[in-house]
Amino acid sequence: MLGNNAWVSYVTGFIERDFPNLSACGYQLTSPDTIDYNCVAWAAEDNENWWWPDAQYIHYWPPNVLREETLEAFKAMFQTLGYEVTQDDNLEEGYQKIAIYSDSNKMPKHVARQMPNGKWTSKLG
Amino acid sequence: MNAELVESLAQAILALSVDERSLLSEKLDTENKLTSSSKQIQLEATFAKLVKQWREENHGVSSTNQMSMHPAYQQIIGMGEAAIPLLLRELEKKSGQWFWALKSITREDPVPPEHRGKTSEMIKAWLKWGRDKGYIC
Repeated sequence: MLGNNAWVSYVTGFIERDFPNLSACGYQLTSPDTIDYNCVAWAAEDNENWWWPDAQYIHYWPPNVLREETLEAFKAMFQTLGYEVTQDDNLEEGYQKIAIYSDSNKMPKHVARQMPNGKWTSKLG
Repeated sequence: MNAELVESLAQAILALSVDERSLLSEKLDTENKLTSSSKQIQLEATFAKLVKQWREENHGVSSTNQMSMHPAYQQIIGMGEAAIPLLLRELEKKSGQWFWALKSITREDPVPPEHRGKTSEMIKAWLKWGRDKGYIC
């Protein structure tokens, strides 16, 4: 059981407000909301830390990786975890893929991870 | 300022007996406490409104920089020291990432480097700091 009806209704409301295409594509809520970790941590399979290269050195960012909010820094960070750059999001046997979402200034905003069945999982926030 | 009024009030106070001055002091204390209490209620209401706005507008945000630069978050930082106990209470409730605000207001960081990002440990460190400094019980 994932939260009560009121919680599901509340969460669904803001998800579909902020990500209207999800309603058409379909999605599933898989865990309660939490501030314990964020999308970067979830993509890195860590659900105990909030990962971000913030300017105040508040959150976790792997040591020896450029601590800045750029696509290059995010790519470099995931490369330290064994990922390589690829151009497509097709499911490939033997590979786990992640997708880094960035804005028009190439500033990373979100990360998602592909599951073995080809669907994508991510943590909002 | 009405200098004449102040002067005449000063003359009137100086003419009071010890008992009368004591009574006047008590009345002024009560008035000050009521004003202070009213200000606190107003402050807490403003804080709660900003927290609600920030939460509603940052549900899907992962970026520490982005969520901390949000106008409501910045207004909370602008409330200064008065917001510290309220922020610590929000941390206890795990309502959001309030670490940037606390660090900005206090210019302190009780979180050891090895616990950066580990939310539960960061909350523990800030709550201990708050108790040690007398902001919370």
